[in-house]
Amino acid sequence: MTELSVNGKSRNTDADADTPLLWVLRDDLGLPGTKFGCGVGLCGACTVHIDGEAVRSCQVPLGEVGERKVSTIEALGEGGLHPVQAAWIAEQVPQCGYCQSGMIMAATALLKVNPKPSVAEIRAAITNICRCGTYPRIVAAIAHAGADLRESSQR
Amino acid sequence: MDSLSTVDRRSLLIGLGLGAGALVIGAAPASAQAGGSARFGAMLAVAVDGGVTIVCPSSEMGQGTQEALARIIAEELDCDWSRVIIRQPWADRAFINPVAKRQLTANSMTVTGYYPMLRRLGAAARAVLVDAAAARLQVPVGELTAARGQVRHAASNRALGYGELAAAASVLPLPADPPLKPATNFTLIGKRSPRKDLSAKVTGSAEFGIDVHEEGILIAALALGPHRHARVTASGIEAARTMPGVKAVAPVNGGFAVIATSFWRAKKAADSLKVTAVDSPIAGINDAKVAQAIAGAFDSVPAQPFPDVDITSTPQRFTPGNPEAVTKALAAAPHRLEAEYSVPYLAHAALEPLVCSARLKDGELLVRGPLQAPEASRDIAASLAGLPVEKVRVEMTFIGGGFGRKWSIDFVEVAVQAALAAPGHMVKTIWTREQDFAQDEFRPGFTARYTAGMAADDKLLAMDSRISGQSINQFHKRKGPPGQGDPSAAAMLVYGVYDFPDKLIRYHPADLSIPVGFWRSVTLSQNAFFAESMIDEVARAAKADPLAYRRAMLAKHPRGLAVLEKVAEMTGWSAKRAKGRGRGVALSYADNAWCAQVVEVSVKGKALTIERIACAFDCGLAIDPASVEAQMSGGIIFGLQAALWGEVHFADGAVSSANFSDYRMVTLADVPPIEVVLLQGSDRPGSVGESGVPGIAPALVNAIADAGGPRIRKLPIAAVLEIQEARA
Repeated sequence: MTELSVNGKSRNTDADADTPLLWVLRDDLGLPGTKFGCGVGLCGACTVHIDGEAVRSCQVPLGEVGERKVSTIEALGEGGLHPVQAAWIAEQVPQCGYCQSGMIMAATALLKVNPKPSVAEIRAAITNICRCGTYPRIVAAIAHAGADLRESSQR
Repeated sequence: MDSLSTVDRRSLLIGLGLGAGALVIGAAPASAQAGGSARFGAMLAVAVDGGVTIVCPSSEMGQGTQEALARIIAEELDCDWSRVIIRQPWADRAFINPVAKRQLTANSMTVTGYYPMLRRLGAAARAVLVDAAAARLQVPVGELTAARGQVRHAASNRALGYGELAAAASVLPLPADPPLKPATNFTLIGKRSPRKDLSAKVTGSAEFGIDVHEEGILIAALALGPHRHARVTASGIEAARTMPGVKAVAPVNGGFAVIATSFWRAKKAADSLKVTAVDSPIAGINDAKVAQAIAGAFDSVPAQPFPDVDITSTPQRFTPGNPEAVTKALAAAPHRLEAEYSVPYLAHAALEPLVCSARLKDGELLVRGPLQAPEASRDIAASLAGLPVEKVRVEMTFIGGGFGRKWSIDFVEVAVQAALAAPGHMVKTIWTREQDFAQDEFRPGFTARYTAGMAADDKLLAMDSRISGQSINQFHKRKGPPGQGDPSAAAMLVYGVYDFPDKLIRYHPADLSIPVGFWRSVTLSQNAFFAESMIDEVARAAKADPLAYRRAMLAKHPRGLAVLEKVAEMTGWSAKRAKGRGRGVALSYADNAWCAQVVEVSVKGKALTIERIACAFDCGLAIDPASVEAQMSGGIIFGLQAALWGEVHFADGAVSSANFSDYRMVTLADVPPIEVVLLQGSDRPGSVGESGVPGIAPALVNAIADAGGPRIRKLPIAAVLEIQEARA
């Protein structure tokens, strides 16, 4: 049995140690918001936060998580909507929506370290794949969310 | 004629969570009615608390049809839009698209197909609610108005909510032909507000096919051979059955399903099987053999003619080509131009891989998944399970990207086969990304050969066109129109809308058995590239402006002219280009829809930078303009991936493009500024979902030529030029 910290709670799983964290979240812990897209760390649909950093969870075996704190899209809004999620709705970003959990987790992690990213910095940081092509609105939503976050931190 | 009827189906009311006294109305196309009993299509229910539930008949894969169809109903209903909940449909003949006469979401015909019927549905519901209010208030109907879920009698300042009226309305006769709202009074159609499904999609709570779950669910992973019709054997099955969590190993089409308590355990066991193909329809296939088969078909396979189709007329007009006339015209033409173009096989690569769930329990089969074709899915599921169709329920989830792949039912078959091996349990079969590529139904590769004949003043006189590649109809054993080639290969190889006298289209089906299918925009995905490249080359050979050259042939099509003029205005088309800069234009059109795109590029040696993309699009009435714009820029990005990098490879009898490392996708850094402007040239909706895709490839290669770069006749572009990060 492996114990890990997910969304602020201690959770247990009897999954094998080589099970990617992605599948532990989805199959064992009832958290299907994090998605499977490629299994090789290229698409970013599986992005979660581990100790606040964006990580592609299909590349993290359960046995390597240890005591680090995992958080998923389900906990991002802490019961409401995170400003990034609100910006995503205001800018009408999603189409099919499948990539957006990972996209939002990546964007949130970026804004935490860089509250006012330039377009070049956004391009370097956000490499998730969106097959529907919502990229232009993602850029707008990151700018929108960044402004909201800076404003609320100034109050 | 469509028929509307109130519905009194208790199980439906319970299933929708509505209490007694709700007004439930369905609209069923005439072809769906059976023996006098009321059946219903798009379902509309008004509950006693005024909440409105709309069951949308179509699938939702990001193209926004669930929202659009709900808005059409709600517009006429005049309910409170904030009280509307949209529900996923299930497979039912009563949900069929009135134009397609099937329940499926494909071919950009959902909004266009359902539009008239759903307006009548909303209007009829509003009418009986007003009738009920008139009776309750004891006033004439003419003194009542309805808006935002309330019926008001202004003279006496009394109002009744739809919820209060639902029970009384539910026993009133529905009008057969209710009056519809004039477009000038629209408050939802054509307006901008965020879609209702956005909230679930940003919180991770939207249910996709891969998210299907219930207590006791088992997961199946697959071990597959090179082709769905390959006969295969596998070693290691007995050992796999003993691996942790494994419940069963069962044969499925082209391979084996390993059913276990979790995906990872199923996958580890599936990966331990060694699958060998005893025979395969693509044994020994490789890129060279594919190219040989396509090139060879021009000489070895007799040509099938394809008419010049005018899709802008209703009904569509078919003009057979006249080979003698074309040969004569070409022989007499003062100027001639010949060109050959090629495009490769393309993968769908939706971000949600193939997945589907099924459960056989107590003599009933439930199928639940990301399905574009629920009716066909239900039929094949019933057939595989040996059950009557009435014992099979097919439910849809959100689709994490369809693009035509999830129209096919091959993955439903496999999922049902897996579920039959573990009866009593829901079994969810998940394809890996590698399997999603390997088992795709590709957009076929094609080669097109043109000969154009021009007059002394360079006007086009004749165009002889031939195309070679696989027939989608042939692979799926579908009958096409008799006496002509497969439309998915040959249609619009020469654009019917360009006004010049002699056109000829002939199709040589290539003898290959690679699985092929409908890929977003289908025939135009390759034929717009071919046709709009050739027209561009003809124009340039005549030293004419390519946009003006097209304009001169479109006098009969003011909507085509309008989008061309608009995109020229958006990009300053006529302005001189700086050295190394170029602009290219392409026109495409579909049902009641016209699209003009201009791409601006810089070419420096082998380095290509895309500077900007402009798109003028006329789809008639845009139900949800923001969604239409998103479909256009998204379609452009989808087509851009194909133009720049799209190419599926074959080696050693199988698909060799394995994952995104082998099949490069467009990411954020590859997207230049994209500007979309909507025009409205018709009062009714036109095709949207696929319309952004066809124009980008030809506009891009035309721009590269304009910039002084090479004339690229073979995609993908990355084989010739080095793609730089796009302009920010």
